[in-house]
Amino acid sequence: MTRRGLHPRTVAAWSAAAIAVIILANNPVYRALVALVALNLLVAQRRPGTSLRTIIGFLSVFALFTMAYNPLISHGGAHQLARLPEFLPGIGGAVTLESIVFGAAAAVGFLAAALAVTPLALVLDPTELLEAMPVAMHGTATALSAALNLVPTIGRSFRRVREAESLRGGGRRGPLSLLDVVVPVALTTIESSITLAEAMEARGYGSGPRTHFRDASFELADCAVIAAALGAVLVLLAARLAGTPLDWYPFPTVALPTVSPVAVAGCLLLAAPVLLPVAGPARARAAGPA
Amino acid sequence: MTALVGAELARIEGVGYRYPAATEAALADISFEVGPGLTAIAGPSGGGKSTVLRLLNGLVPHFHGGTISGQVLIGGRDALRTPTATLARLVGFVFQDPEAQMVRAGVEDEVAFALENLAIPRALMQARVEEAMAAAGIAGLAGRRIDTLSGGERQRVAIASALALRPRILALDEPTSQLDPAGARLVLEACRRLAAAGTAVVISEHRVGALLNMTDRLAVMQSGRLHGPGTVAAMLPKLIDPPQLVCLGEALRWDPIPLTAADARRLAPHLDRAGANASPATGDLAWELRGATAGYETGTLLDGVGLAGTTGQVTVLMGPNGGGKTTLLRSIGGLHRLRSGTAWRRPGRVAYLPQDPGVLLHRRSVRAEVAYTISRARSAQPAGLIIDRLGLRGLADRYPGDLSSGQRQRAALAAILAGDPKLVLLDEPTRGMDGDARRALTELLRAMAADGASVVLATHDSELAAEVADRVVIVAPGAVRDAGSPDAALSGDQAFATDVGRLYPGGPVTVDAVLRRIAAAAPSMAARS
Repeated sequence: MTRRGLHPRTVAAWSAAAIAVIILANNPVYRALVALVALNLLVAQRRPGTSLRTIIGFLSVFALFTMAYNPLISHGGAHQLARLPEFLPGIGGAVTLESIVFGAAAAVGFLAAALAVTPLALVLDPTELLEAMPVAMHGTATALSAALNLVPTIGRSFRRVREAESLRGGGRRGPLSLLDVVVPVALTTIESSITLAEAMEARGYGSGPRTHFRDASFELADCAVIAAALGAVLVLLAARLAGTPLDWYPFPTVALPTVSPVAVAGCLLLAAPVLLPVAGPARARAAGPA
Repeated sequence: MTALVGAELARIEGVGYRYPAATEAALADISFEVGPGLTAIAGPSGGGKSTVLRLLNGLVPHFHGGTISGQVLIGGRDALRTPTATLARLVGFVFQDPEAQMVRAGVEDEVAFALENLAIPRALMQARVEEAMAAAGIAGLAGRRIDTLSGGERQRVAIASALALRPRILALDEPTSQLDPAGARLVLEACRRLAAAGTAVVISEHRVGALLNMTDRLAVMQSGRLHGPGTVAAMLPKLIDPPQLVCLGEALRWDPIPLTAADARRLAPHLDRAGANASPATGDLAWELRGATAGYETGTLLDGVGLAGTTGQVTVLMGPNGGGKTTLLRSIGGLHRLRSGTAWRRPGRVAYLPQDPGVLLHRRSVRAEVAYTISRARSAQPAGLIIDRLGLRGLADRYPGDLSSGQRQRAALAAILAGDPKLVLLDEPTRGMDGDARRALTELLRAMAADGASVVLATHDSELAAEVADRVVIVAPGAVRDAGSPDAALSGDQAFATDVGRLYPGGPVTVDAVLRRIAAAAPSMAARS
């Protein structure tokens, strides 16, 4: 049986490279590029039955929170837009254009990082990730696999908990309703992951080196994607070493970020899984006997 | 270490166990042996059945933690010192929820998962996978994706997964509790074949009616203590929640007590129609679906359904796994968006119990859950009322997350049924429940219907349907059929017939109804004689 789609280690390598790029460059333009590329990968390669809508919704809410929170606690910057009374503990002081822009940039960084690791949950089956981990790291892999199982479970739990709450008269609508369901959703999804971990343990996971039912060899597309992902990291690293400005801060006075064509090209190398002829979800990996 | 003797595959000696942070012991001085053949463990919810099974493969205590005493020998190994992953070679384990235990996307990949974990060479895997699938009766599922399978099919995939390692012991934790009768029959038949072939099969079930005629040994677990195992005949009197035929046999003093409808048919007295139940009076329209079409990305489940219910009426939806019961239930409550058609409900609060009660329970106590619903419903009902009616007084101040699955189900029911809802929608309400809890629920639903609520519930539990339904609706993909009264829908050779119903085509379908008919006929029989 020839495996279809990206090899789990390829997806893991791609996610690691995307995170490395985000760490190497805090310029929101580069981070936005990584976020867009990750989003493209998710749209093109996510497993059947997985939903992007809820995840995007969750990430958007957290991003909005980051944007709204930063101006309240950070009061630096040249352009004062408003002033909160000083007696308000923690948030009193100037609200500046720079702190708002910085909050927005932080939100872009958060979105990019979250989207960079989401393929591990939405492109791979939870245990496909196990294939990507070295044998010596089975304990870590179990924990990671169970944790990543949370991602698709969160969406389902969120819908079910909110529905149950509303039928019992929990009437808050809009963003505030999130506060009512955060704890139940967390508890439900953690419980689901514990059950999965228990099932894996009962079936011998972690007893030692593993073999593989499917042919786990790399294909040409895997090699190309890994090479491109590695290239992206090397380009950004080289640019940083060469003194190319990859960082951007709006303080003390906000200005447009400088964009390096080389760094943009490096970020775009991460688009290899979308551009190369890699099997998408229509060509299911699990179909057919070995 | 005590050596295993004879055909013993497992020996548990004087085991006591307490979960981390638990105030009471889950197991108290348990001793028993497991040999080839089929052993059934019955008992009420929260009695310790699941914990005993987890002793066999070391999940207790290795995965769950806690404090343990005594000795557990599995295939000669000290299970308290052997990791679960190692014991997996000896003990296959099948969990209650077929969905929660699936870790791979494809059927063969799922079956092969344990083989991969134990480093079986790839060259051997294909044959082992095919062998396990054949033993579990799922050879026809080769090449399918897990997410396209029914609950019964998934559970048999789980059994095949456990069998792939050729374990000497197969432990199954309530494997049929979420399956329709056809799916449950296939799972139990697979277990019977394995037991006949020499595997030690240990099954825990609340309700062991379908198991009794194939069980070699029966044990009863209650409050952390184990009674037995012994022969079925010896253990029948100890059953906390005996199946219908046993209840009927004891009431009519049959000896021996028949374990199958076929055996009971020879002993069952003839009943005339004199004592048949009258149809209940109908109330006002409470809900209505008109031309309702609904489904998911994978296809249409409801196709132009027209169905209505009245106040004071209990409607039971039955049908195969994946047939659309939940979708129909949710459509009635306005929780599922229809592709076409309309859903109407009279004004008033809708109470909905989802299949997973965990999504409802996250407050500090059962009482707090009930109080929350009552306060939101602006009802004057005291929280203690429904807590008492569902037999939850002793659990009212416990954190719901610490309860057993059956107890959580009852807590979830209390949480949604408080505050006088007008429309009650319940999805598999008796999942994991023992007999007392089921009886309490039956009485509560009848009382709510008598007070004017309209009740709709989806279930595979034929005995619950027989006790509580005014009418039964059969829901299959693309076909929804009003099957009429429980006497008509749950008797004879109908797919969902109760054991008593199989004795009496056309009804009655409950033990109480049979006894009432006999009592009603007694004077006229005496007069004739």
